[in-house]
Amino acid sequence: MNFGIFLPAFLVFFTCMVLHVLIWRRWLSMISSLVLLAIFIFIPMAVVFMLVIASGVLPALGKILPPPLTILEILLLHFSLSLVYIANYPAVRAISPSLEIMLYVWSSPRKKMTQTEIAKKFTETTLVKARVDDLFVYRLLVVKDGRLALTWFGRAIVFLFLRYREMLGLPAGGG
Amino acid sequence: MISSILLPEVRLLLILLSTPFIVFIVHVILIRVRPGISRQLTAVQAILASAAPLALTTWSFALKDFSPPEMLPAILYSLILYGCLANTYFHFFNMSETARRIRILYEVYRAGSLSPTVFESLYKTTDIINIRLIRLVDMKQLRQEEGVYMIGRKTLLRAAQFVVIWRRLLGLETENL
Repeated sequence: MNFGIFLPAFLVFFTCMVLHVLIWRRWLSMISSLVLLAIFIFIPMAVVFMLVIASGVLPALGKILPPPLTILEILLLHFSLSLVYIANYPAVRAISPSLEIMLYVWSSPRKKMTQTEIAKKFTETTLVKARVDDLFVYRLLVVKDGRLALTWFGRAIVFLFLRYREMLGLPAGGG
Repeated sequence: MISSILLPEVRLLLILLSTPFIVFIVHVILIRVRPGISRQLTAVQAILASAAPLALTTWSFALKDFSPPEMLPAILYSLILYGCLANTYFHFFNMSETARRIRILYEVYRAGSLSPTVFESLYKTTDIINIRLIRLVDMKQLRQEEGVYMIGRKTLLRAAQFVVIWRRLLGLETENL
């Protein structure tokens, strides 16, 4: 391992970030958060896979490419940075109420607010209905006979989080 | 012996990839031995407490076999990977703890199916705000004095200000913030 692995990993991450910003600014209304996975994970994997395959056919390319273990180290570094961004992205997309509360208190004229003043800033539409709409878009929730019901994917996600919280010894959380 | 079969680089990667599992085990232990502490704070403590055993394991099973010129980049690489994976674990836990979408899915799961009107009565705006105010005070991000909330530590405030800038860059709406 040498310092040479850092630059390519940061370059791949930076390129994906630029791609993400450009796509979001151009097609925001049409895209879902799942596109992030494609940009940061699947596309880099596909590019590296194609380069490795092509290096078998083009010996010149094989001489430029680093050894497989170094490629793996570069990819893992890029994926780790990407995971941090993807994990933080929900707070960016649907700005979290906790962050909003901090901003409201900070920007209030006296820099202090009562609970009632804070609650007045929020509406049910932004806090709950928009999140329910997200779940429909991601096909985690459907309407069956006029009632909200989970899809199999929605049930799988609840199951995952419930088991995780059980192992931690905590009750079901969320909200 | 694994040490003699695998290259030090491969051993290093395998140990680093186990980070979320190690943090999870330490997290399980901390929740049981220190109940009553803010859950987010416990997750952060689990991350900090996992650093020492992971550093020791990384050194004993991988880093000590690196040549001197490779040592510094390998340590830097390990620190970045550990930081990133631990941060991702924290956000996974935080999602299970605070995410509204997970809570909505859970309420529907528990009931089998829900009519929209019943759902709205289960999940009130005031509850969402109250829970968050308690959490923010627990995490010392807000101070409460005689029913009035003020900024405490500024970590989350700075994060919120950064999020606003980032939303502008991505072309997301920021007019209410």
